[in-house]
Amino acid sequence: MFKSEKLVRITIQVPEEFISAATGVLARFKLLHLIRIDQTHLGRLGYVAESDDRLTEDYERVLSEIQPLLDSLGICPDDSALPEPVIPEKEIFRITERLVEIQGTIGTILRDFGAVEQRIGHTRAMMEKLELLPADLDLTRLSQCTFVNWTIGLISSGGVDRLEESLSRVHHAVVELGHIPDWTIILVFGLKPDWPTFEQALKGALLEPVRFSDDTSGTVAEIISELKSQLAVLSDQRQALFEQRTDIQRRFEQDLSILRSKTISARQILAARRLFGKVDHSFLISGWIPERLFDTLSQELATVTGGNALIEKVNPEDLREVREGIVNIPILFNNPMLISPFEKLTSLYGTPSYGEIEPTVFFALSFLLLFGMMFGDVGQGGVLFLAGYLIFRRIYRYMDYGVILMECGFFSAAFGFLYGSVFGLETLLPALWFRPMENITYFVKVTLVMGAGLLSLGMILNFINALRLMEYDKLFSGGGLAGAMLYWMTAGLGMKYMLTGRVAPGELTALGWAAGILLGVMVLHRPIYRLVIRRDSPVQIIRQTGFVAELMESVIEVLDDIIRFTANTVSFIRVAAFALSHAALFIAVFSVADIVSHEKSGAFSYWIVVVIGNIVIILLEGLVVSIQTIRLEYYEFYGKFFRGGGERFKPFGEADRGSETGKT
Amino acid sequence: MILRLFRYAFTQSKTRAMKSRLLDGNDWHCLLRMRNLEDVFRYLSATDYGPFLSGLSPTGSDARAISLSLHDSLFKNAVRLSKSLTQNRAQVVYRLLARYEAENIKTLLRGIWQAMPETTIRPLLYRLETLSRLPIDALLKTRQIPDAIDLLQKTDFHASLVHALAQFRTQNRLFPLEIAVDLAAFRLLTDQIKTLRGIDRKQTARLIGLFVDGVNLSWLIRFRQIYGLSPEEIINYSLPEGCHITLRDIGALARAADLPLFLSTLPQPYRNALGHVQHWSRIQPVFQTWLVAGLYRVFYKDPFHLGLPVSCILLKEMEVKALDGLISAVGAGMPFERISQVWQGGWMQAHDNHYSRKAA
Repeated sequence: MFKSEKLVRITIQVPEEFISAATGVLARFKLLHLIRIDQTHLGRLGYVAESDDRLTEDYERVLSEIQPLLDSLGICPDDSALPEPVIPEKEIFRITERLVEIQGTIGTILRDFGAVEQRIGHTRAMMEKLELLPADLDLTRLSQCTFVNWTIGLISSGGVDRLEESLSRVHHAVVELGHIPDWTIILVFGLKPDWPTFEQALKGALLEPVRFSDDTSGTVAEIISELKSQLAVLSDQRQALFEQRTDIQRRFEQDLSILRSKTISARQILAARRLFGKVDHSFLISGWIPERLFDTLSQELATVTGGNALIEKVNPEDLREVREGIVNIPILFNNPMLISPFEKLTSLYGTPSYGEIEPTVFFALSFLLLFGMMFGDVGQGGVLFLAGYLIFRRIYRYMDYGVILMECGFFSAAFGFLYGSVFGLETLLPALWFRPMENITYFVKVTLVMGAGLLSLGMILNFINALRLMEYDKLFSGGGLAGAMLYWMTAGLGMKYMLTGRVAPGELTALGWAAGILLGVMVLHRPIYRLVIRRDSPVQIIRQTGFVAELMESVIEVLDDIIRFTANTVSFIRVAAFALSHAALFIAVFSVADIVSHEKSGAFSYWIVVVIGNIVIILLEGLVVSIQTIRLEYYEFYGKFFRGGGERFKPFGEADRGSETGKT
Repeated sequence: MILRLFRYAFTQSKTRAMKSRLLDGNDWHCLLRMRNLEDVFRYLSATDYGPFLSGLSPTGSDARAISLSLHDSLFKNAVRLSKSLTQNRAQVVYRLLARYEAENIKTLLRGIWQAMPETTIRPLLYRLETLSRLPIDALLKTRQIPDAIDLLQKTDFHASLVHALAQFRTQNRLFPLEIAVDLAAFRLLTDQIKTLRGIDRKQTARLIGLFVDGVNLSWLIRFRQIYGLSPEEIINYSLPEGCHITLRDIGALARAADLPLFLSTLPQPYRNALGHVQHWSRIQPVFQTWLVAGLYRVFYKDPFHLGLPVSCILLKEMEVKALDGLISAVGAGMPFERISQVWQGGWMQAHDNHYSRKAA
C-alpha cells in the first residue's frame, strides 16, 4: 500500500510460429507494460519486428463493415474478455467467413427495412408540403390549363420580392398559398411561350418544387387521404420488417459483439508487434510485469507455445540502465478499493518515481480529515454521501469521484456529530467535541497542531525517500533531518506555550543552542556530506571551486526553509477559517430565514430559505473547501517529500481497447 | 451618451490600436514596388502579419497557404475585438465572419462532390477555430452531399442547404447549394443587426449596407460578364438590405445592355463615384476605394458605437484581400509596373487620402 507494486523486467523469446499465440496471451493478461524495442540497444541495432500492414488494413476493413451492422441493428457491443487468445493471422479468415454469413442472412432484411423507411420519409415529407396547400385546390383542373404553365413550390420568404422583380418583364402571377417559418409556399402561373424565362427565374430563386406524379388528380384533400392510406400500408410493412430485425438482433447480437472484440484485439496485437524485437526467426518481447504474476505468465506461455518460449526475469536493481537512470520503471498503484480513487488526485500532481513512497493513502486520509473538519455537518454530509452514491451507481465513468464524494460525506457527517450540527441547526444534537463558533481560539490551536503533524509526516516520508533513493546529502539539509529536528523542537515548545501559557528559560536556552548547531549543519550540509560520507579531506573541500558561493547559497536556502516551515504551519489556520466561514454562512442563512418568517406565510418562506441556503452552501462551500484541501495537500504536504518524474504503468491490451470503446 | 461612452470606451481604444496596426500608405508604396515574393515576405514579417507568416517559406508555399495565414490574422483580430463587446454585439462580429464559415462549407462540398481525399481538402479550409461550429472532421469523412448536409444540422446553414437540395438534384451541380450558403451567411448577419438598437443598429446597418452594395455589384458583374447568366436568374442571386442599391435597381442593372447604360442606371452616390469607369474590371477596385474612404470616415466621428469595430474589421478584411491579390500577382510573375497600375488609384489612393487627412 505504501509502495507501488513490485515489478520485474521480463524478456520473452518466442519462435516466429508462436508469436500470435504468445501475443494473444499477453493481450489477455492485461498486466504487461511493454518496453519499446526501438528504445533499447537491440532496437538501435535494427532488430525491430516488422508489422504486417496488409493484415492490419484487412482488420480495419472488417471493423468498418461490422460497425454499420451493429449500428443498423441497434446493438451496443460489450467489451467482455475473449474466451481464448486471438491469433491475427488465423482469425482474419474465421472473422471474414462468419461476417459474410451474417451479412448474407441479414443483408436483404436490412435493405428492405431501409427502403421502407425511406419511402415512409418521402411520403411524410410530401404530406407535410401538401398540408400547406388549400385543401380544395384541384390539381385536375390545373393540369387541364391550355395556355398557361404552373408550378407549386417552397421559396425563402425573402425571395418572393426578388422572384417578382425577375419576372417583372413577363406576364405572370405569383400566388402565396401559405407560410411556414422562413418559407413561403407559392403557386406561379405564366404563359407557355414565356416558360423558359420562368425556369431561369425559378432556378435562381432556388424554388423547391412540390412534385406530383403524372397520374395525380383530384383535390389536395383527396391526395392527402390517398397518401395516408399508402402510409398505413408502409407502416404495416415496416412493423413486420422491424419484428424480423429484432429477431435477427437477438440471434446475432453475441456473434457480432465477439467478432468486433476479436477484430479490435487482433488489431491491437498487430500494432503491439511494432514494439517487439526480432532476431532471425524469433521475436523478442520486453516489458514490466508485477513479480507475483511471473509464474502464472510463464505457465500460460509454456502451454500455448508448447514450451518453446524462453522467459527471463530481471530485478530492476540489477539493470544497469535503471541504475543509470536511462530507463524508468513504471508505477503500478496498489491501493485498497476505498483509497484507489484518490490515485487520480495524486496523478494530477505527478507520478511518483519507482522506489519512492507511494503517498496516496496518506493523501486520502488527510484529505478526508481536513475536508470533514472544514465541512462538518451531519445533514450536508449525508447529502454529499447520497450524491456520491448516485454517481457511483448511475455514472460508471465517474465512479471514482462517486466514491470520493461518499467518503467526504461520511467524514463530513462524522465531524457534524463532533460539532453538533445538522443542516446548520445546532439545537438538535449535542456537540460531542466542541462548537466551532464558540471555541475559535481552541479550534485555531487544533488546526495548528494538526498542520504541524501533517508537515512532520511529510518530513518523515522525505527521510524514507532520501534513504531509499540514496540521497544522503539531503538528510543534513534544511528540508532533511536537520531541518526537521529544528522544526520539531520549535513546534514542541510552541505547543507547550499554547497549552500551558509558559516556557521555562532553560528550555529556551537549550532551543537556542540546538538551533545554532542545527543551522550550522544545514548551512554546511554539503561540506559535511563530503567529509562524512565521501571522506574528502577538509583542505580538499575548502579549496574546491565555488566553495564560498555554495555556502552563500546554503545560507539563503536555510532562510528560505525557515520561512517556508513557518508559512506552511500557519497555512493550516485556513482549516479553522473555512470551518468558521461554513458556520458563519449558516448564521447568515438563518438570519435571512428569520427575517422572511415575519412576512405573510412566514413558516413556509422560512424553510424555503433554509433549504435554498443549504443547497448554496453545499455547492459553494463544498467547492471552496475541496480546492483548499487539495491546495494544502499539494503545497504543504506533497511539497515536503514528493519527487515525481515516474511513468504510469500502461498495460498492454487495455489502453487501445479503451479508446476504441470511447470512439464507438 | 454617457452609457455608450462607458460601454465603448475600452472597445474604441482597442479598435483604434488595431487600426493603427493596419498597413499605411508608405507600406503600400513599398509593397507595390516589390519584385519578388521573398521581398514581400520580408517586408510583411516586420508588420502585424509577421507571426502568421513565420511558418511559411516565401518560395515553397502555395498561394492558398499564404492566403489562409493572412486570414488567420483577420480572425484573430476579430476574436480579440469581440471579447470587448457584449454578447449580441459580439455576435454581429461573429456573423460578419460567417461568410468564411460559408466558404469552408463550399470548399467541403466541392471536395466531396469531386471525391477529393481528406488530405487535399483540409489544407484549403479557413482556420476559424472558435468562430466556427462546423463538424469539420466528420464532414471530411463524408462521401455524399446529402450526408454532409445532414451533418450540418446544428449549424445555421442547414435549413437553407436542405431547401436548395431540390435544385441541386435537378441541376446536378453545386451552384444552388453554394449560392444558398452565401445568401444564408448574409441573412444571418442582417438578422443579427436587427437585434441591435439605436445608433449601434443605424451605424452598423449603414456600413454593412455599403458592403452589401459592393457584393451585389461584384456578383452582378461576375454573373453577367463571366458566367453569362440571364437577368432573371441574376436578380435572384442578390442580397437584401443594401444601403443604396434597391431590388428595382438590381433588376435594371441586370438588364442594362452595356457599360455606359449600366453606369447611368446606378443609384447615387455610386453614379458619381463610378461614372468615369471605362471597363467592367475597374468597377470593383474603384468601388473599393470609395468604400475604404467611407470606412475610414467612421473614425473621425462619434466613436462610441458598434460601427467602429465593424469598420475596423472590414478594413482589415479588405487589406487581407488586397495583400492576397498582391502576393498572387507577384507570385505569378506579374511585372511590378502592371501591379502598380492595377492597384494605383484603388487601395493606395484610399490610404493616401486617409493619411494625408490625418496629417492635416
